[in-house]
Amino acid sequence: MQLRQVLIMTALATGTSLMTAPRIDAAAGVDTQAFECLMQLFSDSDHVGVRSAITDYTVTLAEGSTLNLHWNNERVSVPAIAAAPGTQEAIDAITTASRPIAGNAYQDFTKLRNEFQGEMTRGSARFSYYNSQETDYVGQQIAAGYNRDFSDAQLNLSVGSSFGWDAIDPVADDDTFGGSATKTTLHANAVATRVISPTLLVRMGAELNLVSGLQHNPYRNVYAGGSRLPENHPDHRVRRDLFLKVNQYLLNRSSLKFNYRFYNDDWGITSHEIGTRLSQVITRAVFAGYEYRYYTQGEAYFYRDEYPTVNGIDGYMSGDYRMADLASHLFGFTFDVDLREWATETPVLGRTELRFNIERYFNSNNYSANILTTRAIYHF
Amino acid sequence: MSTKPSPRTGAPSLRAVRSWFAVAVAAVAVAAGAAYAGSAHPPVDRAALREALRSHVLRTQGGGTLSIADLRGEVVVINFWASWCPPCRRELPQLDVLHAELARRQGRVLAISVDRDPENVKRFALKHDLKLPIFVDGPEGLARRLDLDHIPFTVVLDRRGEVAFTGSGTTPKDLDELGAVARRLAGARPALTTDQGGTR
Amino acid sequence: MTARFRSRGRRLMAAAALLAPLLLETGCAMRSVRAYEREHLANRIMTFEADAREAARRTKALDAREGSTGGNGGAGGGCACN
Repeated sequence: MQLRQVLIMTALATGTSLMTAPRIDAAAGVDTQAFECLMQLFSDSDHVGVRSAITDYTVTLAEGSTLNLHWNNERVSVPAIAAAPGTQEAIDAITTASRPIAGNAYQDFTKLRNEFQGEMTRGSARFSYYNSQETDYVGQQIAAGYNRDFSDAQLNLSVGSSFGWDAIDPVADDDTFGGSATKTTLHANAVATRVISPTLLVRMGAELNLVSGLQHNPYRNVYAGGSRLPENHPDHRVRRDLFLKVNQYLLNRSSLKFNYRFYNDDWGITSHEIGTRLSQVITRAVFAGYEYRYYTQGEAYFYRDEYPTVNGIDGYMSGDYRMADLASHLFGFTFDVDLREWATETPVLGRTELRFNIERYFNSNNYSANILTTRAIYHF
Repeated sequence: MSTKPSPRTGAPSLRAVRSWFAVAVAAVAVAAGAAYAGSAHPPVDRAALREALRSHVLRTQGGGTLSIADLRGEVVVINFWASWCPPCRRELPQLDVLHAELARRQGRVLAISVDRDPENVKRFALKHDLKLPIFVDGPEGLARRLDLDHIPFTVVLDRRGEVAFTGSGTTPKDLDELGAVARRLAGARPALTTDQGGTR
Repeated sequence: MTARFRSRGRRLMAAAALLAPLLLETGCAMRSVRAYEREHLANRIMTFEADAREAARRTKALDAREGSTGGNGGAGGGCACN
């Protein structure tokens, strides 16, 4: 409670100091009315599949306000265990599965998630409410943000904060020990974007997340001291990151982006991420983007490949590979077609943009994933 | 859930968070203060603006030239815009309507684009069926000479060639004010309603 | 090793927070970019993300597969990615 008060007071102080500064430049308006459909297909080396069907509707209200309504219908499939019953491979698969093992583990498990968000922007302020519902997890969040231009729009400062509260109610299965639980996340961020030259933008930001509550997989068990025990992570986590992004326009109608993020938390995980993206204007209506991202992290202080005793490390134990040393690579390709530049006289196509994106991800745990995204935006 | 052991000792998370946020707030305050200190807009020097406009020659899209000084006797609304500027794109069709009105009373609107590529200007004008005179002056022309710090930026010259109004707002209220000034100078009755539609 | 990382992390963040205004507001060293010079900056390939929603989707997908989060300036709570 004391920490929360400090954060709230700090956020208010920062926001007040920004808001009471005289308005130098009105934020430029944007043509925002649009209806968007997006389909994303995810599949990984564990044969987990996620299909996301996302719809967004954005409408301009009076006096520079916009309203965005977002709905994501997501279907997650976790495959049946492939190893023969009773074998070590089957047991390992069960202990690392992120699914309830009720009755027959040799059947696919499917979960549906619906996510709704409403966001309103008015001038430089924004406010949103988020709700996510699935069989065993209900997540909610409110968020607010504010940004302002300074120095003849050379500099933009943005602050944001959100509070999320989740209710977890694991589906009963053969070996889940826990009951209902909650999780809260308090987030704050401050971002500065600076125009350096007519062709160079720089953005720097800092973020803080305070997480309390259940932060491990309630279905996962870990081998410790010869027994199979439920996974157990600390109840509290302080996560912080700093990031730097640079975007340079190149004279051949392309741009090169570079980003770096430093992260660490009080679980002992420190990570570095570097990424680069080359974006090209092929024609007035066609754009391509090529991306590479490298990520490396250290392990949590309580993570071990094997736990010698049932007490784990200070009572904590994890079977989550995300708590371990990790390095990953991501390659991405994006292709955009703005039909508004081609089919200018056509009622529907003349207001449509299309996007195609494919990403290939793999990490040092022999895990890989493919993500395919297609998107259509209709402007009106 | 079963009682869990307390997190590891020696983790001064509250003190660390407090110190980081104090530093972050201080950094933001310094940045905002510096930005505020350097951001005051000097008032528009109307005499210098008038002289720069009078001495500039604009090139039409057809290859001809137009000198603003030759337009003395007319009410002239000069709008600096760009096809890549969203508020400019919304405003220009409304200025097209104003141009049609002023044209009946010895007045006109001149749209001066700071685009580098004339093709972008041409495409925008065709797409929105704009009839007002459009000039492509580029970023190194009159806009640089006037050292504009905003676009869109609009100047209204009265029939004597004096600067009667300058503005860079694009809200309906700003456009109403601009239109009222131009119509008053042209001797027309003010419009009863303002078209709030904009280009998309 | 963990204590050394924590201390180093705090120092790094404090240094970055103090340096940020110097980097971002050295008006004497960097000239002002005027409105009429911003054509390239307005190009869609100069946005950092296609939009905030794309950034949020990317953050969510990577958070579920890695141990860290953030880097986009957006909030990250409330998703069922335990």
